[in-house]
Amino acid sequence: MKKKHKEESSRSAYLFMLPALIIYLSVIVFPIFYSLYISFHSGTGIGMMKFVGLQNYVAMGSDPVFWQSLVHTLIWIALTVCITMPVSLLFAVLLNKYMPGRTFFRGLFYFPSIIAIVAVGIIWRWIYNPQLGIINSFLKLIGSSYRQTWIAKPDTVLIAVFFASLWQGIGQPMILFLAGLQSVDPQTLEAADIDGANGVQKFFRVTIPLMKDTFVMVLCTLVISAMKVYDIVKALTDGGPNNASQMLATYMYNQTFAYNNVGYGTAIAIVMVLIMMIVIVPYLIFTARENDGRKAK
Amino acid sequence: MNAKVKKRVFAILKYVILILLAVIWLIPIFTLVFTAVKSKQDFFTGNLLSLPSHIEWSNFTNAMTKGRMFKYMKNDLIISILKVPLGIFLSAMVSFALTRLHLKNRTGWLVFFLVGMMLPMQIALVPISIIYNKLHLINTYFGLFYVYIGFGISFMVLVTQGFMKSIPKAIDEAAYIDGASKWQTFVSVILPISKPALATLFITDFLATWNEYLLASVIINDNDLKTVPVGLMTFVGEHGTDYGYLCAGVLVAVIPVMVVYLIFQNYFVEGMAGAVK
Amino acid sequence: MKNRFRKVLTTAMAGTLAAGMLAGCGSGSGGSQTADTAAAADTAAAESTTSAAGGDDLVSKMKVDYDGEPVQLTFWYLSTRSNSQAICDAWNAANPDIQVKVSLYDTDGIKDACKTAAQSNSMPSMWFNWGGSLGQYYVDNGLTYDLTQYAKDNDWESKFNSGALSLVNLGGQVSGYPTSYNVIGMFYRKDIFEQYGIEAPTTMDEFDAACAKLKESGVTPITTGGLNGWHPMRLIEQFIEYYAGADEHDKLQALDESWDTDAVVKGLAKYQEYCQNGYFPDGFVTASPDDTKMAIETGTCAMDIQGQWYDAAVNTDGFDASNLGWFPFPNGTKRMSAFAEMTQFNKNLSDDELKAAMLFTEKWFSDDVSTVYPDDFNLPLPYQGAEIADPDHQPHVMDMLNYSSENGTFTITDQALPSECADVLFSGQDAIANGQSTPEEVAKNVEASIESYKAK
Repeated sequence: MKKKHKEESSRSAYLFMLPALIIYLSVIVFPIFYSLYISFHSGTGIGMMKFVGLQNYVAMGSDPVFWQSLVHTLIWIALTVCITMPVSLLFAVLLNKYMPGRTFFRGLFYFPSIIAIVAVGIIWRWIYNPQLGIINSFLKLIGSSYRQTWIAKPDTVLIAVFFASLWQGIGQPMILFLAGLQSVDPQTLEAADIDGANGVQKFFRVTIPLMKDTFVMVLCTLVISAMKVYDIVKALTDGGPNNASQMLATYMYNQTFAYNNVGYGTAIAIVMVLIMMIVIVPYLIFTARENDGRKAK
Repeated sequence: MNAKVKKRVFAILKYVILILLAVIWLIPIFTLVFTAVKSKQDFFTGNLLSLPSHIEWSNFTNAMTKGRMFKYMKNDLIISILKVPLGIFLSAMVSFALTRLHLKNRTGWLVFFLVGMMLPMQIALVPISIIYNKLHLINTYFGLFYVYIGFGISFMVLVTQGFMKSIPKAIDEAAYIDGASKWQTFVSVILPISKPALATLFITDFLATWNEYLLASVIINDNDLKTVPVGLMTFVGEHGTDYGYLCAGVLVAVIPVMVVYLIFQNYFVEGMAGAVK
Repeated sequence: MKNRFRKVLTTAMAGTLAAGMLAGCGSGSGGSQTADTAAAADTAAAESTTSAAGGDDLVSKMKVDYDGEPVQLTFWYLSTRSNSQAICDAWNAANPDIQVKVSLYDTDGIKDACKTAAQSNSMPSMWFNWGGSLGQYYVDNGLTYDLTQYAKDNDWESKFNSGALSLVNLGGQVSGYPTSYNVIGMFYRKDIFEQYGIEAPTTMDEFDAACAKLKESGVTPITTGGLNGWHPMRLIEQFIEYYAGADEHDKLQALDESWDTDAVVKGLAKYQEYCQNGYFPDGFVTASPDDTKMAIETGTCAMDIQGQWYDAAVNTDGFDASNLGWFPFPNGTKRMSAFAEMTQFNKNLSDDELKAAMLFTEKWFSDDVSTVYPDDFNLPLPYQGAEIADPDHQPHVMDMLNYSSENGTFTITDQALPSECADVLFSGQDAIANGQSTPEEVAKNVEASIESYKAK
């Protein structure tokens, strides 16, 4: 009896997934298989392509620009996890409870993510402009002799582009955190109050554990979008100077579309997906297991 | 007394932090707004943050008429308004299955659905274009709409399943006892409870759809069907860009997304806690 | 076999998608129908406005004699030229038998769209392209109509500027219809030169001296923007031309001679010297090449290396081009750097379609249109004896072109080199500017990239 119920339930699970699945198969899964196929070939992408086995993947090993891009992308992911995530959480916490001006602040921090990327590139190129830019003007104003060409120097470019991206991208994780904070049951917090926990303790011991699902969401989206970072780099530096801000996504694009090394570029894309899987899947399995564990108790 | 003082200090501290952050966040925004209202002469002579000598409204009127922003915005609205709710609905169905129905290997399915987020869009251009040419879907809103849903599924499933997980199972069971079918439970019990998640998604996905450039530029090549980000690129000149005109266009394009944001943020502000109980 | 696998995979997925469309119909199709009708209404509205703006005048000028079957063509062009839709609408109104649909893309967008179309077998009937390595891809992959015979039959030799015609000759065939021909020289602020008593330099030594003098006087000598690499490259290629001479530079560009050579190293060393002397603005390495003219217009920099379109570009900013002077870069050979733009044609065009497409292209790039919308063209048009309509406001254009036809040209480096090799050069430029690499290392790297390109 129970078994039959289960079977029926899993059949309806598939039915519920079916419409999305059909679209997903044609738009996502097919291109992935196609890309896998292409990544084992060399050629210009037109007509017969030569099967080269794993050669495209092996070639990455001896491609210095690939390694540079990989390192930059990993740094970018680390920056996102260590800076974007805490900062967006801070914004969400500050703006969670009602206070005068809350809508304004929320709107303000969200606003940059709406602006079209071509404008973001233009604005930040001006801000970093060594002569006219606001940062150097400010340094001059406070009497500091420190000047920097920010996005023109290999040692500052990555962090400069990252800051522009932080400014632009904080809105989405902030909204996810806000929604997550709202889902924390106030009664649990009250209970903690009675136990005599102070604000900080309450936040770390009660709120954060309750928001675990929100963290999964935010971390997944941030890591994935960091891995795929493309627009802001393209708009501000185009990977320069001397590949100092070259990312896997920009390099993959160049190989595929500009250099016509379609097989190689696609292989880079596959490697990107694999790296994301390596980062994300264990995390998902871990949190899922923890959930089940708690339920079993 | 002591607690009251402490509370006030915290409140002031909070405002100080917020205002500092707001200043940092505002500087680039001011740069954008000032550029949009400056005339060319102003722009070339002044400092970037200097006040405009007069407001150059022609940047905006040019963007609307010559730049055809109205048309692009209308096209984008049609796509976004159709795509976002449907995408959310389909993804919520997936999440319902993932979190509340019997399914083997849930994590596996979740990973499967997440791969769509990981796939770099550039790589999908050629395969999608091959099928679309076969099916004559190039230059149709349906075609664009279809890939947008496909690419949106991953993020939406991630978000909706995260929220649905936290809804107690007892609620479904109560509905089943009342004789509701799975479909009824989904539509009239679980979906309404997930309102905060759906509102969040509406905001983020509307934005993502509104600003999507790459797929739109390849799938839509009819100038009358173009969307905002593709249309904005026509503001970029060949031998130098008229920044005032471009920034005015960008500011105009922001309005619908800001409206959607302001409307929907109220939904998740209300909170989920009350709804669950 | 492998191609069949690809075919099977595509068909299978197309099937899935078709099923998806059916499934989606319930909720989706109603909406998309509305969208279609709305779009149709819009098109009508757009037509009525453009015919008002462009004038019926243009429509009457657009009429051509065509006796073939009625055809429908597609044309992919640049959205940066803002009146393209109006031109196309006028054409369609005048020529019911040759209906053309124009699709407009931004500069990067058209490259992506064409590459995607090439790989999914959906090229339009005609598309805009640059000469050199960008256009070469479509020739190498057999996607372009070979116009060699057509050009011979229609005497293109006497129709087009010879420089333009040679630049569209790729892989041994005439690969497109030249639509613009551009030469690059050095523009300078006359008043700044006068103020410091500088004459337009005619030798490299004089050029060095002029830069030194400007720098001493507190003016940054040369404005440039290194984002995307090609703007500083215009200077470097002149240095290489100076040290290599015409013959060797041609061989370098044809990849017949190693780039790891004395002339290239010296040219790059000259660039290094200029960077070290502070002859370029601070932070130029990632500055946008779009903004170089700002420095000229405000007078913070004295020189900008630009094409003959520069007159028109500064004029639109309200800066009078007659404040500028130009001189050919004193590279010793007197040759100017040049590049062409063209329309390429789909190899699958039928005879009638080719005829129609050619009529369309000839009309689009004719005085009939360019006088109505001068801003939409890099004038003059690349025909022999072509003039510009407004020489008073664009004082340098004809002078530059005449100088180039007297003294010859070489292909601009980013069109001569394959993109992947050009990008290695661009990275090297940055590295030299930031003191990360020596000219010798950069020359070696470029040569290595050429070797690996050839090995493909």
